[in-house]
Amino acid sequence: MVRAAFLVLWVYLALFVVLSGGDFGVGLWVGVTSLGSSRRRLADAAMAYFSPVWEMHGLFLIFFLTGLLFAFPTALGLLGGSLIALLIVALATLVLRAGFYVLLAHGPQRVRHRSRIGFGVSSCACAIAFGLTGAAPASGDIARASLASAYYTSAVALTAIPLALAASAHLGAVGIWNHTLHRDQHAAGWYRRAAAGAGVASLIAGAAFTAAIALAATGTRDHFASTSGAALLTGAIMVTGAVLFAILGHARTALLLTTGGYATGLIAGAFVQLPYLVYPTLTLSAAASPQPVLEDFLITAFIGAPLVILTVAAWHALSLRPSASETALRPPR
Amino acid sequence: MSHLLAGRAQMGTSLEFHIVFASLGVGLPVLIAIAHFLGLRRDDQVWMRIATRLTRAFTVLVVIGVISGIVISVELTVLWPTFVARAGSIIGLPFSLESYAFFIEAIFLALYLFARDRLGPWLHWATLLPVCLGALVSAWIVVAANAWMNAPTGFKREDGRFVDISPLHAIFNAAMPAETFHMIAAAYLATGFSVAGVYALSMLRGHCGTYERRGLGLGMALVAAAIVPIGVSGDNAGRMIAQAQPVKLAATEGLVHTQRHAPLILGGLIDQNGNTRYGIQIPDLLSLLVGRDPNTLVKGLDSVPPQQRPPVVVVRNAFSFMAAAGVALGILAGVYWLARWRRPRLAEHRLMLLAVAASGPLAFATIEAGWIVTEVGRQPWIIYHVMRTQAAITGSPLVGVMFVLFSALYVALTLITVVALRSEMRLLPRRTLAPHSLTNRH
Repeated sequence: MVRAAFLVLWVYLALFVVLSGGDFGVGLWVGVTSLGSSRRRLADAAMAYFSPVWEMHGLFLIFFLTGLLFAFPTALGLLGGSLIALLIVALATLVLRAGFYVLLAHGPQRVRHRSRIGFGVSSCACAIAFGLTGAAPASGDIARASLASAYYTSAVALTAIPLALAASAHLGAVGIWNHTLHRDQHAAGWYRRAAAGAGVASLIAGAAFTAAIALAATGTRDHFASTSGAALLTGAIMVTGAVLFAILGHARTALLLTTGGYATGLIAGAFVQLPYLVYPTLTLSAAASPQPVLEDFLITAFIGAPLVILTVAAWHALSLRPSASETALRPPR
Repeated sequence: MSHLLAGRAQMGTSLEFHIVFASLGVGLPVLIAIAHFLGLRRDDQVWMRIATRLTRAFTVLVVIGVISGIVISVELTVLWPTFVARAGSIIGLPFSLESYAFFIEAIFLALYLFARDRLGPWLHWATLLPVCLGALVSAWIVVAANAWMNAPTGFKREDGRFVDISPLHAIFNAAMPAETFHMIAAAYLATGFSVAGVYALSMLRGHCGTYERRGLGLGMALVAAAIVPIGVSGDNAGRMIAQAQPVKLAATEGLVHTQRHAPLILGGLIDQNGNTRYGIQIPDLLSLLVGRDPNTLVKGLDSVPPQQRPPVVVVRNAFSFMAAAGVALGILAGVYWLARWRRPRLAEHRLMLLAVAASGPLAFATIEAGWIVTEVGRQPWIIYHVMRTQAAITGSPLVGVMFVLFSALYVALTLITVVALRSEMRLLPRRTLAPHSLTNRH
């Protein structure tokens, strides 16, 4: 039952990482393409993809946090106390990013373009801050309710930064590519190439990050040879497949493999670390709520989670379809 | 500023910032749904324009509301790790359910905003109903979780640990009915006054067309619907506090000594010991309000040692402001509707419009004051009579930095929100409805 609750939580975290990571990636591309005036169309294409999905994805972080509060409150208390510096930075960048988004989407025309650069920078900062925060519990640097300052210069942290940026860029580029496929061929081609490039960078950074974790968490190193390790490898293979399909130009397949690959990798990575929830300070069983509370949590999740996942999938399918007005504007074949 | 005070100030600032957006998130969908319904039903472009304008504003407010909501959920963990670790099993259920309710609201709002030309007109309108319901349920559950901190139940204590936990009992605690009902009614009331205020401001600037009149009437209609429930729930909340948190009641009313025939003190200046100067005493009224009998025993501040009392000056002044502003808003709503019924021209008198324009900010200030009463009035407890706030706060030295940083960020976000709202309103033509104007321009 404890592991089932753990799995549900990490599904929510994976959804946050994949969807919000994609949003951070879109922000990154908005910033990059706004640097030159010749790429304004590309920035517009990125924003057109981003707008409809903006406000739901952050909710998966709330699902994860409230779930952790419900099922593993001790872990949440430990992480909250020890990761306060990283979480303050992550929250501050998230607030700044929201401010830039509001300005560029709803502000006066004269500030919209300038806000795109700020939105890009704050999106990258968000990806880095959340990446560093997410990697810390596996680093072995959390002890006695505090994070050792050595963490910030450790191999785990230094590899988490490029991984977070590259994975966000990959997820964002694949999403924009799919969205622009029937709307703007030039932008679609550009983002297809961006997706392939970012995917390769993400694979290299992912391999380095995995090696850094294996070196840091010596107590769970053997677990890479288990079923969870195989699942982690499957995630990497799926992302590799996504890169290949991006090169071949199969947008939908690349999208499915990209999102599925990162989600699988993240969940499998968490299972590799078991029995530790926070290595090596806190185990899963020590952090868990009493059995009846876990039952309540699972009942809630088994009713709510399928509803959430199906609704998000349906929404994304709907948002990728051209609207009636876009269909009417499309030139006849 | 002490470590504890910095932590409380940080949490308080975040909550006071978020509550504005959360309240509008509860009330605005209802007004949009009504305006959109009337627009579709009567094929009326004016009502559609009102729905469009409110929707544009709502999209900006939702972005800030979601972000400030995420900040609060993380802050709860960061600032109060001991509270989270110990009480998480009890209050995890309401917070979890609140996430689902808010998710329903968010996804249907996204459908309403962006799937307009992918859905039929009535189906498109129907997507607003889950938004209204999700917002309502979300508000109810999260306030129920707060009510649990005021009237904790659903567990037993054994060696300092919580055992025999029942999250459902925790949700349905003694403070829940009054607190949730009062807050939800307040959210509708503040939204109604705010929307009416925006249109009143427009009329003061000389735009007195059907569009402005209907907008003003729409906001004031929501006020009319919420004004009686808020009065009834306020009275219930007062009597609940007398039972569950008598010291909080004593602080709000400035009652020093436990007594029968307790007087109600209006106004005056209070000190930390609870002594009021220059106040007007109405004999027996507090006992009468609390127990419906002048002989009712009402506990005073002297029922607990001084170290177990909340900051009396803050609580009393916030309560006095809330009560006075609430009564003023009630009178304004009554006068407006009376004027509209008997003397329609008086309802558009400059003074009336000025009062309505000021009512939106005043209503939100009233909500803020109410939350100060709720939260500061519970001190020194984070869970009433179970866990002290001092015992729950993080030991990190970064709390002060966090308070300064986030206060600055909230000021910036407020300015950005105002700029964006003004920009959105200017972009929307006053007299003509742009095609697909409900959707984002991207």
